[in-house]
Amino acid sequence: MTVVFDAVLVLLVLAVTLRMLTSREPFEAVVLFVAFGLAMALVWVRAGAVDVALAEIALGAGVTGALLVNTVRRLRAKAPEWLELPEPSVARAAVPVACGALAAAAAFAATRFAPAAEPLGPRIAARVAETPVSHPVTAVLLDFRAYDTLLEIAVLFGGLVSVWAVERGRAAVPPPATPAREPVLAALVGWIVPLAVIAAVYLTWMGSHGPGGAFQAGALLAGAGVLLLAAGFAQPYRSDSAAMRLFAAAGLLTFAGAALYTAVAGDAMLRYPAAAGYWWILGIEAVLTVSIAAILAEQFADVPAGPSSAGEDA
Amino acid sequence: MDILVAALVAAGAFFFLAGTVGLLRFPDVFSRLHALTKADNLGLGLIVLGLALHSVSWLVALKLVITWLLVLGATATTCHLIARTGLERGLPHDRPPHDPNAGAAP
Repeated sequence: MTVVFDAVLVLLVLAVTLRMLTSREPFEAVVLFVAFGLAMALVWVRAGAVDVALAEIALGAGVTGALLVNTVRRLRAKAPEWLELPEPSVARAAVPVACGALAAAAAFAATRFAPAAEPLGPRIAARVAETPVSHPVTAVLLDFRAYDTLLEIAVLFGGLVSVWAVERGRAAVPPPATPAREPVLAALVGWIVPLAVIAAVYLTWMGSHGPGGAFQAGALLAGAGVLLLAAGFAQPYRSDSAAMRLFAAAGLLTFAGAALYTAVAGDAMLRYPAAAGYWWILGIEAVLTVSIAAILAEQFADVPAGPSSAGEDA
Repeated sequence: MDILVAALVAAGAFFFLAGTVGLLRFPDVFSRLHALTKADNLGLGLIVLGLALHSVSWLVALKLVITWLLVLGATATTCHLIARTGLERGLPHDRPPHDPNAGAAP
């Protein structure tokens, strides 16, 4: 029975992807991208990767979807010609064919590998007890491979800095007139935003012993921020505001500071002091959550939110 | 108990199916919204009820019910916003625009 379910799921992912890639209408493609993210999340759940499923929903479908909707809306207003897709041609058809061939080759190659003599999963499971946390995914992300996560945060922050660089020198967008508050939306925002904050705190804490963590929690907080912006409850921040820069940089600064401290004063870089390791990880995760939320939400920074846009973003 | 769970989930799936058919077959935005929100809310409610009866602990059941309530709030609001935007843009619908029921219909 689960085979039938998996087969239907695979067909769903393929159908949504095909429709998304061949869509002639950008907004439709974005909606299909969100649907693709939800379908992929189901795939991750079926593969037992609940952490990845959470990240796929929150980051892949949620925040990225909202960013794409925003992009389409801004392009429609400022440069509609960019949204006109070229006519289908042999050259364009060659791209998905080549991608499909590459994927098939990779899938074939994957079947040729002999199973590892010592699979990674059991090895990690055997050594999770040496880390301050009990969830293997968090043990990998913030202990065994903490260096990778540090670099991920650096990449994320670098992305925001490049957005700032592009925005720099452009005419400042005047703050929007207070949008007409939509009462139904206002009631929903009043409920959802506090719940999202509670859920983000819960997810951050949950990361130490179950699926969750800074990325999922940060994306959730960012979603609350995007909702506040789109519904006209928050003014778009200015990228030269010192507070917003501090929020965005805090995660990288804290993480890099912890790396530097442990490298100089401790045993090795990012080997946390044994006694307080749990609090080191929880502290880094908490600051990362705020920073990731700030970085993601600030991508919406200079977009004046109006009442007519609220429907699309919600 | 298992029969009850299966019946509830199947009934929920039926409402989803009906809502999807409505989305595909109804003529304008407003009647499509009507089909979607009514059917999906009820469909999800029945599935949640079925899964809550099936779940191992009351905590899981509580989380399922909370999920349903959040979805209810989100879909009702989204539906309202889409319908309102549609009215403002003068999208075609069966009733005259000044019908007092038009705005409340979906």
